[in-house]
This record gives sequence, structure tokens and C-alpha cells, in this order.
Amino acid sequence: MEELRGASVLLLEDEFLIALDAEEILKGLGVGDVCTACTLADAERLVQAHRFDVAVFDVNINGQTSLALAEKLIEAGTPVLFATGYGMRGRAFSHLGVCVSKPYTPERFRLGLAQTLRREAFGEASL
Amino acid sequence: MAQDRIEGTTGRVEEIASQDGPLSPDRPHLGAHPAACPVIGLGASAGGLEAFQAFLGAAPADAGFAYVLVQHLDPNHESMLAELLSRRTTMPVRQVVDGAAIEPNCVYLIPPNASLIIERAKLKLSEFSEPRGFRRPIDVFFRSLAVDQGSNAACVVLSGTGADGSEGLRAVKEAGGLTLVQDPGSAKYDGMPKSAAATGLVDKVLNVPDMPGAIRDYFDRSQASVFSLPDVTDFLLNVCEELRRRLGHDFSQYKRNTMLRRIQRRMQVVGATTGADYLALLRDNPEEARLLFRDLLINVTCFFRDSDGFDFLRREVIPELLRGKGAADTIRIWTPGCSSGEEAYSLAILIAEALSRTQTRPSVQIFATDIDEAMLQKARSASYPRSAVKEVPPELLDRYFFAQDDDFVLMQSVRDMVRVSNHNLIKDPPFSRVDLIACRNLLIYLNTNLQQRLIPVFHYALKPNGWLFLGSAENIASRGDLFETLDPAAKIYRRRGMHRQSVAMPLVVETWQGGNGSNGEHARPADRADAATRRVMERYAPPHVVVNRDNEILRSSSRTGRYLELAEGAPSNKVTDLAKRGLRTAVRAVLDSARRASKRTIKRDVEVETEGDALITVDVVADPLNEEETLLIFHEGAEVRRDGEADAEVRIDGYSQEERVKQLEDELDETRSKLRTTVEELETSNEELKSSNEEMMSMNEELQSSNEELATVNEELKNKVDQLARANSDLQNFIESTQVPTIFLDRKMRIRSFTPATRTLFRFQEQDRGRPFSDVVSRADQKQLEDLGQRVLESGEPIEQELSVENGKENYALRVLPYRDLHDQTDGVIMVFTDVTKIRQAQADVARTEGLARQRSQEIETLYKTAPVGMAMLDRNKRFLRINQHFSDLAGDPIDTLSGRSLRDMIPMLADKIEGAIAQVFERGKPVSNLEVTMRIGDEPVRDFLADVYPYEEDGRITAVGLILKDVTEIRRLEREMRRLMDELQHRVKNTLASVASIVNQTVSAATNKKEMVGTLKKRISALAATHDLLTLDDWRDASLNDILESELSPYMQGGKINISGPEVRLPPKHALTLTLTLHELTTNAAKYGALGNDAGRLSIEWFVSVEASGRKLKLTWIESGVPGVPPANVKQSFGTKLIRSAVIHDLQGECVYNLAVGGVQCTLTVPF
Repeated sequence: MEELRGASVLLLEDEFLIALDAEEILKGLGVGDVCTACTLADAERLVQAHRFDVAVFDVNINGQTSLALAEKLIEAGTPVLFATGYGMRGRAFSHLGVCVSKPYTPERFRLGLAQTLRREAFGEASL
Repeated sequence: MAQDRIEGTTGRVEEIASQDGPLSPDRPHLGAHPAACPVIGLGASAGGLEAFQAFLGAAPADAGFAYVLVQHLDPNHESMLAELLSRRTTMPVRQVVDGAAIEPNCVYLIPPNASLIIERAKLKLSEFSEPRGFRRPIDVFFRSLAVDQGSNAACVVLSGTGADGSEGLRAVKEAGGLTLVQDPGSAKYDGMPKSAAATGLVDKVLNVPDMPGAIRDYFDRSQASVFSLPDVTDFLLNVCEELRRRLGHDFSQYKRNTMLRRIQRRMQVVGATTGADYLALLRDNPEEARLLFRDLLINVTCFFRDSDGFDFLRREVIPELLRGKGAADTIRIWTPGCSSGEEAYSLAILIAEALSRTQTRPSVQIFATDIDEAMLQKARSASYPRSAVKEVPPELLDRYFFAQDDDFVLMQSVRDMVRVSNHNLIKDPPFSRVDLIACRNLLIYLNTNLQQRLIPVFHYALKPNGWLFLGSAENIASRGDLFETLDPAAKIYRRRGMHRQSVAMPLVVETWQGGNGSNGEHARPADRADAATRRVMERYAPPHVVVNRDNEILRSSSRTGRYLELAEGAPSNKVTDLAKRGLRTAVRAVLDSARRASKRTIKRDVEVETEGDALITVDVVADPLNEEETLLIFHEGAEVRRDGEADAEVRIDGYSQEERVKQLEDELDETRSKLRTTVEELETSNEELKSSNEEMMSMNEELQSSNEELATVNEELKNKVDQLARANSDLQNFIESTQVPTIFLDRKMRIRSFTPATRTLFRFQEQDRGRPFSDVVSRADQKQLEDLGQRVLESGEPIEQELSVENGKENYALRVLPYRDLHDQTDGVIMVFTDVTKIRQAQADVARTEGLARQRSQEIETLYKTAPVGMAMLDRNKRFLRINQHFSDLAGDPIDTLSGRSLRDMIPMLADKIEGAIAQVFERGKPVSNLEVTMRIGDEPVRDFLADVYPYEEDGRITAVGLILKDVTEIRRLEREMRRLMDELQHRVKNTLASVASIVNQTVSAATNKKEMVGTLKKRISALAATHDLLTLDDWRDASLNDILESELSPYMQGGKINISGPEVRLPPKHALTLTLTLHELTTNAAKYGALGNDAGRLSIEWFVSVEASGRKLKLTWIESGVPGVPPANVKQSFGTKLIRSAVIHDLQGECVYNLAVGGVQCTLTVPF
């Protein structure tokens, strides 16, 4: 996947094991740097310090929602792929970006990221 | 004057006749067309119902008679007679229809406004020919009964006013039928019975209940015929002798069969079964002789009977009779056997008619004579029923009759011509110098012998060329020498010859002798004289008579006619009156002289005038026989010789002229004095008559006005009767139609009436009317009912009571009421039964249902009060009709405040939401459910409600809507919480799965062989699962650190290698899970390479919790010791080590210090929580 190659990715995931898995999947897809944030504060800090090509957000971060940050990021031009345990249907963030369901698989990530980067999908592109 | 009659032998009976013409008395009298059974005609008028009822009540139903009831019925009213009478007899009671045939054991009833007759044994109806008031239906029927049925009939005259039935009864009697009359004393109205009894033709006068038995006896006895008696001739002679002895009339020359038939009839009436019985009765009972006498003399006649004869008289005889007659002349006519006088008056009318066309007025004397005094009375009254005058031409009827009551009375002018007197044609000397004799229908009753003797008597009595008028079946007995026949059909004859032959009187002196030899005490010595003596007496002895002291003739010899004749005026039996002119003085003189001297006295050479005006000379001898009787002898032609000294004959030739004058002067004085007395008496009577007349006149006026009043009253009564009949009919209909069982009882608890519906309770039959109530079979308690009835009778107060029948299977509401008569007196009781069985059942059902409904209602009410939903009812204007407590609570206002107020005023927010639904429910009648309503009531927080609106119907119309309001706020909240929890759960599950997936990925990448990999994987997941278990134990809130450690280290706890120490710390789920993973990796490593992998190794775990400004912190130290050697370097690179070093930091923002020191791993974990 050419557009992912070397792309810098911001991963927001509060579970260590899942983040570990996601990093490995993303690296397996050929992305460049993967910065992993485990809290919202980490993520904000990273967003201010860096510019990312794409972000992968878990919606529920230690009981808080990552949507506000995701909106800010999207406004700033960084597309966000949502990775969540929730289904996307009827959810408040469905208009913001593509969503992949846990547990992650390399294929889901690949498709999700591809759609996100091409800004093709709004809403229902559930994988 | 004592005795009018010389004992003698004679008889006179006229023919039995009918409307259709004369019947020979020899003809059988069974009737023209006898029915199969005797026909009994009953006639009644006022009071007839009672009499009919009594009669039928006593009449056996199987007597084999047909009863025909004739009643005077109002032509404008339907008769209820049949219905009333049928209750008294089991015989069928039928109102006659035209042409009905007579059948035995049936009762036939005349219908209103119809005339009933019987003809050929069939009943015929026709319209009345007479106007109302002139109708005599009973007479009409009885007459037809007589003609049609003859002796096969009986007639009964019952209660009534007027005289209807009497004429018919006469006809029935004459035809041989039985005639009965109700005892006038027992009749409600005695007019008809009295009138019938007055005919003298009634066989029996009885009380009504005795009549059916008498009728049956009568017809039963008709089987035994007197004709078949072996000694019938002796029997007949004995009867004649009794009649002669009792009454002085001899019927031995009467026709034998006629006699026998009438005696037979009489025997049936009195119940004599044998000839001897009847003779005994006749001997012992003077009345029976009289009754038989009447029966033998029965006749009927009418005016102008056989019109041919009367036409001939009018055309040929009467004009000649009157020709040349002047005022000084007298016309003499004799009608012997005149009966009730119709023939005599018919002749009088014809003569009056003839005289009215001439100027001359000769005096007319018609002698009407008979031996039946009863008939003569009728003749004197000159009053006749309509039936008698039906042959009278109308113009004559108008001219010579006037109507009085129902009868026709002759004008005085005609009556004056007729002299009615008692005279026996056979034994009394005949009238003489008569111009016309009308003797009709008398000879036929007499045997030929007597007939032949009577013709010369007529010849003797008539003037030369006088006329004889006989009945249609009679003739002059071959005496063409005495009479010439003028018209054979009209039976008119004319006397021949100028001389009259003397006739021996009485004509039948010898005929009753001999036949009765045994009856010595009644026979006189003369009767036993031998034939020679008798012949001498008759033929050769001089004519003589025996007289008593009053000169009345006791006996007479034959051939006295030369010396004796009937004089003018009232007939007399005195020889001094009967002696011919010229002979009287001599007779009187010799009798006086003989009595005075008690010696025979003779008057010689007395001159007597005979017919042809010849004079003969006769000696008159008076010879006293004893103190009483004197023999008077007329001696003609030979001188009476002296018989010697004993005779002491006194000659009266020496009667001096002076003596004679003196005797006459004495008589004259006596006569004058008598005349004066008579004149005075007459004047007195005249005065009395005048004053009586005056009184009569005034009474007449009073009567007239009374009559008018009565007519008015009658009119009113008629109206009342009409009303009553209508009311009665209404009542009858009501009783028939009412379904309410009702019984009417009289004072003595006898059944007066009942409705048909009573048959459900009582076994009533029609005949039960009048029977005691206690006799009736009933399903109810009869004794109880009677007691109740008695109580009401005594108290006069009604009683109401419940009546249970058959142990309550049926229930009746019984009302016992007093029966009030017109005077408001209690005259019985009325029992009314109302069937309340169904009502009682329904009442029980209602009570049960009511209880059930009350219970339900209470349940609903309780529900309404206690249900945790708000309920209210609203009218069309959305005003509260009803509110339950819960609604009131929801609305925040008390029930009283809400009631009657509108929804919009009270709860506007609710009104906004549901008014549309309410309108829709009113419109469509369908409930609307589950309306979501979110609203704030008062200052309360917003709450969620569900509202239901449903229609409330009354009589199919929606009058209100019900409103149900459920508070679902809490439910809604719980729903939201649930959703949140579901999200959380999903997040956790997915995260757990993602973690497991990561573990799997890491373990697989690091694995060197498959078996080890599976073991490692199992252990890692088990560790995670164990902590899940711990968290779940405490609802996923937290888990104890101790428990986590124990769970992880339990396989190694033996041997005291491990030392664990720290306070009780409860960790949140994420902390528990991350620490579990970290501790699991530490344990795994320790077991593989560290302290738990060799015997000498020791593990010490210690922790404590510090509270700092940023929060609480857990600091846990893991220190292994006794581990020989240095751990392999690759350990640092393993997933386990990576997890130990990073997980706490990443997941819990904690710190981790991990050292591979000599003796073993030392690790410090610091975690905020």
C-alpha cells in the first residue's frame, strides 16, 4: 500500500497489549513511525509536537471519549481511523471517519487506513 | 130449581178435528208423520229459564225422548239459553236450524225471532207472520206437534204470563197427546199455567221436577193396549155404567174404538195398567169420572168450518128463511152439540149480514145447546182465540168482532141472537117449531143405531120445510122419507111432509139395561122387568111421566111428545112448563088436587092442539105414588075407569068457575108482588151498576196513565238489560281470556265461577259450578285455602299470602278478596292466584348476581384506589368526572380540587399532549394507547409518562373517556443505564478479546516449539481469567491484591519459599488486570529461571500504599533471592519482560524498576490508583 509507506501514525490506545498488537500490525503494513499514546494527555502532547499523516484512535480511553481530539485533528487535516469495541452504527462519531472493530486484524487495518487516507468514506464504511 | 137433568142414557161427543179438516174419530191418532221417538214440546215465557233448568235437571239423558223448548225470546238478542241449559243436562242442547230432524235424547231450542213448527218429524223455522205482541209461538208449535205427532207427543206448559200454549195444548190433547202443566203455585209467573189449566184439558198439574218421570211413565204404559183385553166389551160397558151413574150421561152408544182409545189414554195418564185397576179408580174417585167425561167430549171447532156448507146457507137457505118475515116474526135456529159456540155464532153472523141488507127486522133466536157446561161457559163468553177465527172472512171479522187482549170477542148484536143452554139432545125433549137445525160433527161419534133415532127427532123439531145442516162426514141415515137432500156436498137437507110424528123421549131408555146385571145396587126394578112388560110399557101403556113435588120430571115414558114440548126462553124441566098450551092448566090442577087429597085425580076431555092445528081430547090423570113422586098420565081415546073405593077418585069436572078465578087471581097477586120486588131489585142493581161504571171509568184512566208509566219503565229496563247483557258478555270474555287463575266462591264456599287458567291448580269441570269447593281435586292445600276464604268471609278484609305448591316447586301469590254484591255486602270470596315461580327464581338470581357485582365493583374500586397508575374520567368538555388517588398524586392536586375542573386548567401540559387523542376517542370509539408524555408538573423535575385514553360507553353512546397515566420516569432512566452498561460491556469484551489476540500474537511470535507455546498461552490466558473471576466476584468493581497474588502463586506456596506481606488493597479492574499480567510474567520467569525454579530460591513480595497530593499510590516490591547464576540476556528481549517493564507504565501511568541483580530479579512497581 503505497500511501502508507513511511507515513507517520499516531496511535491512541490505553491497553498496552492492544497497542503492542496494533503497532506490530501497522508496522507490518509498512507505515513509518508509530507514536503510541496511552492517555488523551499523551496524545495531545504528541499532536502539538508532531504532525502525523494519519491517526488511529480508540474511542474509549480510560472511560473518556477521544472524539473531541479526533475532531481537532481532522480539522487540522489529519484523518482519523477509529478503532473501537463499539459498533459504528448510530454512534456520534460515525460522520468523523472510518471505523474498524476490535479485535484488530491486519486486513481490517489495511482497508480502514486506505479508506481514511483517500477520504472516501463517511459514515457507514464499517469493516 | 134443583135438578136440571133426568137420569138418562145419552152422550154427545164431537169430532176431533185439526187445522187440516175433520179427522174421523176412528182414524189412528199416532199423528201424520210420527218421529222415531216421542216428541215433548215445552213452552214457557217469563220465568221459563228456571223452569227449563228444573225440567232438564230432572230429565234422564237416556229416556229416549226429544225435547223441543219454545220460549218467548227477544228477537233482538242472541239467546244464551242453550249455553245456560247445557250446564244442566248431558243431552246435547241445540238451537234449532231449519230442517233439523228429530232425534231421541236431544234438546232443541227455538232460536230468537223465528216461528217454529214440526212437519214430517223435522223442525221448520219461518218468520213470524204476526207483528210483535201478537205472536204465540208456543201455540203454533203445539198445534203443529198435534198434527204431526198425534199421540206420539206431549206438551208441557211452564211459567209465563199471558195465555200462549193453551190453544196448542187443546190441540195436543185432541190429537191424543199428553198434556202437562206446571203447578201455578210453583211457577214464577202463573199466567200461562193458569190459562192452560183453565181449558180443563190438562192431564196433570205437576211440579216441574216431577214432570220427566210422569212423561216417561205415560209413554211406557202406551205399550199395554186396552184393545187387547179379552173382556173388552164388558170393560167398556162397565166404564159407561160408571159414567152414567156418576154423571147421568150414557156413552154406550158412543163409537167403540173412539171410546177405547180415549179410555186407554186416560189409563196411561193415571197409571192404571189393567182394566180392573181403572174401573176401581173410576168407582172410587168421582173426579176421574169427570176427567174421563171431559176427555170423551174433547173437540175443536172453528168459525165457518167447511166453507162450502156455509156458502150454500148464505146463498140458498138464509134468503129464503128471511123471505116475507116482518118484525113480528121469529126465526128459530137450533144448534145441538154446540160445544164452545162457534157454529151458532157463525150462523148468527150470516143472518146479521143478510138482515143488514133488508129493511125487515124479524127477531132471531139461535139455541146453542150442549151437555158440557165448561164448553157452554166458553160459548157464553163469546171470546175466541185467533186460531178459531182464521176462516172468518176479514170483512166479517172487522164488522162482528173486536179484539180484547189476545182474543177476538163477538159484537153484542150477534151475541144477543144466541141463547146458550144446557140440553141433552138424546134424553131431553127436543125444541120445536125450529126453522133450521145445524148439528155438525156429532153423529159421527155415535153408533148407527143412535144416529137412526136422532134423524126423526130433528124431523119432529123442525117446522115443515125446515132445514137440516149436518157435518161433512154425516148423513141422514137413509131417512129419505123424512128429509130431501138439497146439496149432498154441503150436507144440507130439507124436512119433508107437513105432519110430525111423535118421538119417544128419551131415545135410548132401554139400551143401558141388561149389560150391567151384576151391578144390582145401581139398577132399578124397572130395569129388570121382562121384555114383555117393557114392550107393554113402551107400546101400549099411555104416555106418562113421573114428577116430584116441584113438578120436575124424574122419568118419562115414550110418546110423550104429543103433550110436552120445549117452550120459549130458558129450558125447564118442569112438566107444568113443558106441557103444551091448553094442557098446562089441567096438569097443574090435577097435580095440586092429587097431592092435596093424596088420591088419584082425573081431568077429563082436555083439548090439546097438535100439529096441523088439529084438536084432540085427552084425560089427564095424576096418581100420587108416594110422598114425593106423582105419576102423571095422558089418556087419549078411552075413558079412565074408576078402579074402586080404594082409588077415592076425585073428579075435578066440578071445579067451579069462581074457584078457578080465585086461583088465577092469587097467582096474579103473587106474580105481581114478585115482579115488583124484582123491579126494585133491578133498579137497585142498576144504580149500583151506574156507580160501578163511574168507578170503572176513573180506574180506567188511572190504569191508562199507569200503563204509560209502565211502558216508559219498560223501555228503561230494556236499555238496562242491553247494557247488562253487554257487560255480562264483556265479563264473560274477560274471564275466558284472563290467564290469571281466579275462583269465585259463594257464601257457603260453593263454586260460583272460575277462569280456565285455574285448571293448572285445580281439576275443575264445568259441572263443578255450584259444588262445594272442598269437593274439588287440587294441587294446593285445599284446607288452607278454605280457612283463608272463611277468614275473609268473616272479616270482609282481603288477605294476601304466598302459596307454595308441591314443596315450593311452584309459588303463587294468593289474594283472597271479599266478593261484594250490589249492596256492598260480602257475598262470597274471590281467590286470585298469581304465578310467581319465575319471579322468585329471578329474584334469587338477581340477589346472587348483585352480590357478585358488588364484589367485583369493590375489587374494581380497590384497584382504582390502589393501582399504581393514575386514572381519571373525563367528559366531552374534558372536565374531570372522577380521579383516583394516584392520579391526584401525579397531578399534585387533591381529588376535590380536580373534580369538575377541566384538564387544560389543571394540567395544561398534559392537555397539549392528549386533547387530540381524547377527541379522536370520542369520535371513533377506539382506545388510543401508549401516548408518550414528558412533562413537568409544578416544580418537580421533568418526568416521563405513558397515557392511555379509552372510551366509556353508556347505552351504546360514548359519554366519557377514561384516562390512564403511568409514570415511566424511572423505567426510562433504567433503560438509559442499561444501554450504557451494554456499551461498557461491549467495550470490555472487545478489549479483552483484543488483548487475548495480542497475547496470542506475541506468544506465537516468541515460541520455539508448539507444545511450549500452547502451555504458555494457556497459562497467560488462565491468569487473566482468574483475575476476571475475582473481579466478577465483586461485581467488577475491584479485586483484592492478596487474592490476585494467591491465585497466581498458589502452585508454589508450599515449602515456605514465598513471603508475601502488605495491607489489604482493593484494586480497580484495569489495575487488577494489568498487575495480574505483570505478576504472571514475573512468576513465570521466576519459575523458569528464578527463585521459584530451584530449591534454594526465595521470593519476597511486599507492598504498601502511600497517600500523596496527586492521590494514592501502591508500591509493590518483588525481590527474588537465592538464584544462582546470571539470568540469560535474551530474557530481556522476551515478550514477558517487555510486558513487565511497559504494561504498568502504559496502562496505569505507573513506574516499573526491573533489575536482574545477583541472586535474582528485583522489581518495584509503583501504581497510582
